[in-house]
Amino acid sequence: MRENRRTLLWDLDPQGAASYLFRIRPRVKGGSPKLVQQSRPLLDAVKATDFEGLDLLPADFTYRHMDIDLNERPRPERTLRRLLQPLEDEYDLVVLDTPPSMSLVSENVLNASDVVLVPLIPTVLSVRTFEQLSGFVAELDGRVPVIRGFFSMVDRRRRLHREILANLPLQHAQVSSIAVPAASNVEQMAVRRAPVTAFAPRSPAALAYLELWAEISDLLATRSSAAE
Amino acid sequence: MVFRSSYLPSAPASTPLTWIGAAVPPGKADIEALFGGVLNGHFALRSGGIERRSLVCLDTADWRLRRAGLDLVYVERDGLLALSSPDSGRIEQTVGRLRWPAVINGIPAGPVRDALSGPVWVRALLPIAKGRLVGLRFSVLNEDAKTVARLVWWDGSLQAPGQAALPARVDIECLRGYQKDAGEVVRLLSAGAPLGATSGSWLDDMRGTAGVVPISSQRFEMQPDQPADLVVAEALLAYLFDLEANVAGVIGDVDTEYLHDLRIAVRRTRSIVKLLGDVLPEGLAERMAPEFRWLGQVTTPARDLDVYLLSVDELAASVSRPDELDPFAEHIRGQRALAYRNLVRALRSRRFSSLCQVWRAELESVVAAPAWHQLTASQLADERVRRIFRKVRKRASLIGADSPAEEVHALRKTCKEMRYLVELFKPLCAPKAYKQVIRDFKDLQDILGEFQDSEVQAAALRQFAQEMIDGGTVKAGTILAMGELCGRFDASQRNARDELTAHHDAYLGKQAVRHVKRLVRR
Repeated sequence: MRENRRTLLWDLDPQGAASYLFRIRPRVKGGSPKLVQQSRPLLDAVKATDFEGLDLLPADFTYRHMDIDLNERPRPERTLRRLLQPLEDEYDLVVLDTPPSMSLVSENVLNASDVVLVPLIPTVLSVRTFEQLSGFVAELDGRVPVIRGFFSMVDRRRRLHREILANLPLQHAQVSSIAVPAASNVEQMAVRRAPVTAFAPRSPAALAYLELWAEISDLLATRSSAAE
Repeated sequence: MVFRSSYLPSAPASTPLTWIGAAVPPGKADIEALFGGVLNGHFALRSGGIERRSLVCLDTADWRLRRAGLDLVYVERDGLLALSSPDSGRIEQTVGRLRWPAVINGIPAGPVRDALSGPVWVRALLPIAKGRLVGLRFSVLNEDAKTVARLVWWDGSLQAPGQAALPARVDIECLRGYQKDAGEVVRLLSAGAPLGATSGSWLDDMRGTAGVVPISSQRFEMQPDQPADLVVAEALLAYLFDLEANVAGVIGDVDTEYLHDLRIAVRRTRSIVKLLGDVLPEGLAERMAPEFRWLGQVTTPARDLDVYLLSVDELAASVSRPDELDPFAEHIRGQRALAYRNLVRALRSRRFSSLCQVWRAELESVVAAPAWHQLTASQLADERVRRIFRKVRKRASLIGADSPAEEVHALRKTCKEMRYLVELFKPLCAPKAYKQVIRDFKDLQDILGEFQDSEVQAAALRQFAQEMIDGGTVKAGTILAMGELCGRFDASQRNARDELTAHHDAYLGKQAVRHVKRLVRR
């Protein structure tokens, strides 16, 4: 938005946290079946957010069965990619917000993406999940997205957090050293129903998100020039 | 009007309403109270920022964009060009600081330039009017405090030409996915506040308030029973207006069409003076004809060179080695600069200003006291159109496959005179017959034009080649490429002659006679 990129955020999580934050009702007419079968164009379900240049495709409770809907399509793991293709002229950037699970939806997201951002709470289990995901992506056929981990909910008072923060980026080139703190401003997003960059733009969390965006933007540019 | 570049091109457009109340609310608080009161119970209102914009309304001198249903605005502060049309919405392009007038090649490459290049053609874009807008923004919120529409109250003022307030407007910006809410907002505002639907844009308001008009001919009315000298003098005054309106553009070399249009005004004047000059005060036509002939002559070299330069890329593409024509194009540019210098000197001369002054004074005195009552306008039109049509047919009948080129040129000249005569009397003509006659003559003139242009261009090429050889710098490849072009012009002239004799009946046969007979309403 700061760079005037026309952006669509698709809230694929049936819990609809992103939709809630943008004050948009988590409801899509026809739900997942209609969207996946393409009997309803994606664009018809899109809503403008309060931020110019940012639109949202809201969550819907039927997304909890999206795996089943996808599985009924030919080449199910590439269905989302096909669905998004008509939006190429409409948006410069599409962000797919998925629930934290390994599923057919996640596999679709990996197939449709240029860059996959993985928020990492600096714990052993989340590091393990990241390694599993990296391994899975490495085995994908054809077009492989760039995986980029970043730290989230970081509490520097904890020794384990500090250790992982210091070591993991050294062990994995795919992990950024950017760390979004576990700050009250981040929790306030759900209270205020607005992005932290809108109501506390100079807070450490907002600055970390901006730094993260700069890194993603560079990754996208590199990816785009490599594709040319 | 929305100027934010992040707006999606296909997003629902904004709906404008115009303030139709007696007094405009004086301040932001009053406007907020007005909107809040009207929307109360349905939506909440949140006050936003203030936008200030200086706008330049751009178009060509003959308003090509307006005629094509396009609005082009330059937002000075943002260096932004925004092009909008009711059919295809709005596109925007950041162009930085630009100076106007500017031809299309003076605008950086981008979507607006691409969209403009067809309608604008070779004409320069000029500032038609300048204005200033102050916009007060409001968000319209639903029960979740989500923005479902935006309101912008616009106060505008014309800054040039002249200074005046523009009617206040409200834009209701629809957001994707909330069209129903925006429709409800429009309904509530229209019903609850003195706001009316408006079909025109801000630029329409600016143009209307400024009272600007495009350069165009035929701004005279005519009644069948008016005295003949009155209608002829009024038409000639309109041509004089056209002529003078184009002088500054020629002197400033704004674009090549100023000279073209100036020459058309001169040609029309010369034709009408020749064909209808006898209805003007005795001796006037004889006195003025040589002056307009002089004016025609001084404008010819520059126009001929313009025509060459405009077609130089096309000509280069038609020869086997296009690069070989570069020195020729350079030569033409040099010659054109000299020709324009001479032309500007003529247009700044005492002879030219005296011609315009005397001509206007004479024509205005005819309009003030018409004295020629032998024929009405309608009788004059009927008599003179038939007379010149007989002349055209006679000339055409003499032309065969072996006729000298001079006879074809003479026919073309007479056809042009007839066309100008018919166009002058357009207000007195039956619309259908008028269209048919103009169409008949347009086709014929196209063929005759091709014949003459090919000959003139081939002759000019020979002259240019000689000049370049005399200059001592030209290479053999350039002369050979020019020879290729000469061959094409000769072939094109032969084609035109064949077409002329083959289609003679189609243009000047019985059907054309019928069209001319029905032309003037009695």
